[in-house]
Amino acid sequence: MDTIIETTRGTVKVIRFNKPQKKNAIDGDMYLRVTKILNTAASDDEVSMVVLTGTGDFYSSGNDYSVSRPEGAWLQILGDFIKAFITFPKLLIAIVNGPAIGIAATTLALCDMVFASENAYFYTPFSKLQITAEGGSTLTFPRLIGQRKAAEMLLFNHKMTAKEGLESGFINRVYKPEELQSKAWEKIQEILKSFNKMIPMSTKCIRDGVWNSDLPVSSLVKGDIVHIKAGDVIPADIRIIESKGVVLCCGDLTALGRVAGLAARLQPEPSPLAREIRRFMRYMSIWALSLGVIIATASIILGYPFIQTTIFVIGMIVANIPEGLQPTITASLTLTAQRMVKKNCLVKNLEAIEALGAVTTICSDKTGTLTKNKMCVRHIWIWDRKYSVADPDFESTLQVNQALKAIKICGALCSTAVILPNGDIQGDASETAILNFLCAYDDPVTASVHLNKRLSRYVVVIKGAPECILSRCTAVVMENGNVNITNEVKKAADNATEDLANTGERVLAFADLILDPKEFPMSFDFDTEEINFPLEGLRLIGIIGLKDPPRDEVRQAIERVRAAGIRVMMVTGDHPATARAVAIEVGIATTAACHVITGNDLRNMTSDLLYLTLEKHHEIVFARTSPTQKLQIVEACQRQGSVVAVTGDGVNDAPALRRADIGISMGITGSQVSKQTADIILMDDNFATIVLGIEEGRKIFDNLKKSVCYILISNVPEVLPVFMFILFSIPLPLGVMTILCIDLGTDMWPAVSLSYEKAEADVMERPPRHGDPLVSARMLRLVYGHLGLIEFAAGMYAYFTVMAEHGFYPADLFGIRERWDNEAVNDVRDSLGQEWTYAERKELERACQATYFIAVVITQMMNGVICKTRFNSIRDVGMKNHVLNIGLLFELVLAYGLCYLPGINNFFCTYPLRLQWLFLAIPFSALLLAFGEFRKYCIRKKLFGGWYNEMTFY
Amino acid sequence: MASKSNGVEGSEWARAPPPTGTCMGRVAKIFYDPSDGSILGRTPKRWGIALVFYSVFYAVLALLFAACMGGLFLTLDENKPSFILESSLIGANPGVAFRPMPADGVLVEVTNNRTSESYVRQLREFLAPYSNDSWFTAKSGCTEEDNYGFPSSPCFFIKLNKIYGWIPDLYDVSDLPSDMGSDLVEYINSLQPPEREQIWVSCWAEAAGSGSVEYPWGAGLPARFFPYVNERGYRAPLLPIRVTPNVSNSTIAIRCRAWAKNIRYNKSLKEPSGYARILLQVNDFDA
Repeated sequence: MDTIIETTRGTVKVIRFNKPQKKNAIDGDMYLRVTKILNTAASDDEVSMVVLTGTGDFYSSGNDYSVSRPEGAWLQILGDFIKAFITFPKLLIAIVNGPAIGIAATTLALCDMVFASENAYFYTPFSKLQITAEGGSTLTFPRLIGQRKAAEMLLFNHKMTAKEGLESGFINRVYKPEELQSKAWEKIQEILKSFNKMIPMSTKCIRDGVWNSDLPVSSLVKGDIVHIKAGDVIPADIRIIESKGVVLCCGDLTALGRVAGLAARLQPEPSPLAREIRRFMRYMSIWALSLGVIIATASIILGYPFIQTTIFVIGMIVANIPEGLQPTITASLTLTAQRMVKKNCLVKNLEAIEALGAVTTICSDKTGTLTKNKMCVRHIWIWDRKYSVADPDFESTLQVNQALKAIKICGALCSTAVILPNGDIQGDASETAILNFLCAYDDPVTASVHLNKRLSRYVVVIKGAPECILSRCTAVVMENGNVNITNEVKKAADNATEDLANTGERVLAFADLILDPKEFPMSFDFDTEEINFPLEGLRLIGIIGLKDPPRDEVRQAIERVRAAGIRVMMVTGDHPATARAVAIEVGIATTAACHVITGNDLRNMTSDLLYLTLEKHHEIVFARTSPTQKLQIVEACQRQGSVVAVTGDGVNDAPALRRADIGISMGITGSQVSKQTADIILMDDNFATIVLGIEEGRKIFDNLKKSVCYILISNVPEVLPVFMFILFSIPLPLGVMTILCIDLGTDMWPAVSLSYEKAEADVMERPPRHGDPLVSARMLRLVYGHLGLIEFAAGMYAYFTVMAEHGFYPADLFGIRERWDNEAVNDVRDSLGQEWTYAERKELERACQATYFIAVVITQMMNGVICKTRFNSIRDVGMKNHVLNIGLLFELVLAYGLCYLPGINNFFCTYPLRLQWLFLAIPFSALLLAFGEFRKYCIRKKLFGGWYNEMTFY
Repeated sequence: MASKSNGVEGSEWARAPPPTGTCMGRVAKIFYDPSDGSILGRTPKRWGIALVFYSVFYAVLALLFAACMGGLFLTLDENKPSFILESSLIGANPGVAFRPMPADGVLVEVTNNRTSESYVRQLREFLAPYSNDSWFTAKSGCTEEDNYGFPSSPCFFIKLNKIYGWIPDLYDVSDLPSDMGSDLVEYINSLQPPEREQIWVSCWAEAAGSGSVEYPWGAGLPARFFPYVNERGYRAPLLPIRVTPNVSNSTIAIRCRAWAKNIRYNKSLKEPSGYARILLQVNDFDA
């Protein structure tokens, strides 16, 4: 019996230890065999990997001690065996079907992958046998499973179970014994598949007159003559000479290489969001600093000590800088990116998703993005009618038609595409489409029957451009028989051709000719080089229109995008007629008169002319363009001030993708370079996904606005008290510490949680935010002119209440500051004649400030609710944003904590308030809500001539 | 939707043409644009409308604020604070104050006739309401006649802060606190029992020997003035002390403590309680 069974499975060499009676123990002969197999496989190009396994329920019990050993040479044999494992350059996989002991276990450590059954264990009892651990295991084991585990195994004879092996990283997978082979082979097939993708491309070429059928593409040099055929990837820049090509440039010097280089050099514009934030921050800083300067000046003039002035200024600056903005942005972007991944849209550059919301122009690819990238037979013209394949009656109406039968035969025979054993069709797109069509309406088996017929007489079948075919035809198939071609028939056929071509379909005519068996007997030797058979007087069968159909969702998606005021342009390398037809079909163009610019036109255009063309025509289709022209188009659009999104999948799209504000690559068809350059990857290659992105992006910006609005509102009640203090000389209504509490404490969470808001109803019904800043004059009007003042009123009311309840009536507060803040004055009189010491006054001041703070917090909570929506009524939206709800609750709890926790309230200059002072702001909260809802109602209904829309709709 | 479905026709969001004219002209246009007669970007009519909208909004806000304040005043008593004594932040520990108040808020510095005169004027104004009170007019020393001791040995009027409803808890003569100065104890013991119903006041120079203090009207504020309940014509009791500096051209600190069981004394300068501290500097000048 053979102790080593060597089999080949495809490109996989399988070695099986086959000595089940001795638990697959390995003897000298087996060592030599395995060593030889491995060394042969190492240099055998047909072998991609070697799989080791054993017969029975043992993998191998290691050295076979029962067989006499060839003395002396033994060590040599073992050494060579181990060396074969170590030096084996290809993939080595072990399927461990049972226990592996001794050298069988140590060699496992040298395999690339190990799959084991549940009953397997690994056992290396070297110390028991009093021999050194062999096979490099002292090196490999610690590296694999760690020093500790290795010591256990190699020194203490630990028996490692399969489960333990899996945990410690000794093996890859554990399967049930009965499933082991099938599952392991499944994995191996997977690996093989991925291998195929990694195989370097090779080409056939002639160099120095020597035919080289398998030269790696990377070693092509200038001057090589390469042979290419349909479907091959062109390996370098070549010049075609009689169906061969002379290599002109390779590598980075090729046109494609230069394009890739161009992409790396181009600098993308900063994202619209980044620009917006930078601008906002600049204005905000200037505003805060100038306020700080005003306050500082006033404070110093009023004689406050320097340190107090500094605190005022810091307070002012902190009050005005929107600290919550950055966390809000990050939260929005991250959340959205996560959500988009679930919708098949991978966001690489977080800011790009927001930029997508600002997009004004989309330059879309045609093939694969707008269309399915799959040619289909759409129409068939058979004398004298056009039939649509999509028509549900198509099959029944044509069932008995002679012509259809003929077209089937012709289509099946006259094709270079082949059906692979597994049912896939391989060949050029049109041929595949025709075969697919035939498969759908006819069993391919019947085609073979016709082949048999061919044995009795030859049939010439031909297909090609209609004008070529028509001129060779003398007859045409009608429903019941053949009719000679007349001018009338010819005209009808011409019309049909033109008709189909105009809808962007690729048109093919089919014809055949039955050869006379006498003239062309079975033994006739046909020659296609010097044609020795008639190609005239053919019989016209019919005309087929092929088309790459648009994706189903695309038309609707484009409708939505256009409703959102975004311009969609198609940039394709296709024929203008095809491009136009697809544009009309998907809705990029609404009239047949849409402006089509070909690559040639573009080349002759100055940049000004392109600019003007883009201004003049809204619907533009770019056809027959080259990749660099895509870049030109993007730049022209950007010069117009557009925010441009570009879709692309090829290497040559990379520069445009990088230059665009948002580069969108395709997950399925996209090349690596394009994916690397892109900001967003559509995992399903679907244009409709972009619409989701736009919606999400706009939502982000909306939510940012809400958040900023919320943050800015509390600035008003923070800043105005200082002005009250300076202008009216009242005791300071809100201290610096409490300002910090609002800005860095209570406002934070609600501000961030506004980014969890859902999109509003109008999000896709308004134009892109062109020139619409994050903080607009409208928002400032709303914040500083309306909402903020309500909060301020609430705060002042709370402040006056506490003062009045202690005897200081508002009228007496004005002008009191100088005495109030003078430490030496120990008897400041209130409205009821009581006299207050400095300490007592300051305690009262703290209580007032704390009440003001609570009033601001309570009105800010209501503002959180108001800022949830810009457009919708809160009644329709509801309080479904639980992050915000918890945030509002947190705001309240935090505010109370700041006031009531002993120690904390001392530090933050707040005060444990009486219960009734906590509710002073409620009427103002109600006014806020009422005004907010009234304003939004007016905005929705455009009341008062859209006054609120114009003034406060941020 | 349909109207927007293709943005070809002049949509509302179409860009405006770029501004024309010179830089100055464009700036001028901001203030007054003759093409539509707009001033600062708005025609007078639009300004009017804006004014109306804002006034309505502010009127509503002001109304609400006024209503709230009105509600607040409804709950307030005209004469009595909402919270008194311990329930109020003023507490039940009256502060001790003095007149005249230092001109710079800290130091009473008598350097020339003019400063001296200003303090005298301040005292005259402060004491004017008392001119009809018999207990006040009956007193001698530290009166307008002797120019309140200014400039050489000025008088200071010590007073307790008015706290609504506060009643002093007086010391029993038999149970005077141990830290009370022997002078004061002696003085108290020398008084007739009906006259012992007083909040005692003792003053001393913080640096011993830097100045001497006299009590021309006695060393107590009569308890009959308490409690203060904001009645019409109420005038708080006063107690003048006369300070005679023993050193010239330097500052002396006089501390005046008020004595009652419910006047807490904290000698700390940071959290003072129960005393007033007078910083006085009398410079040599030719009177």
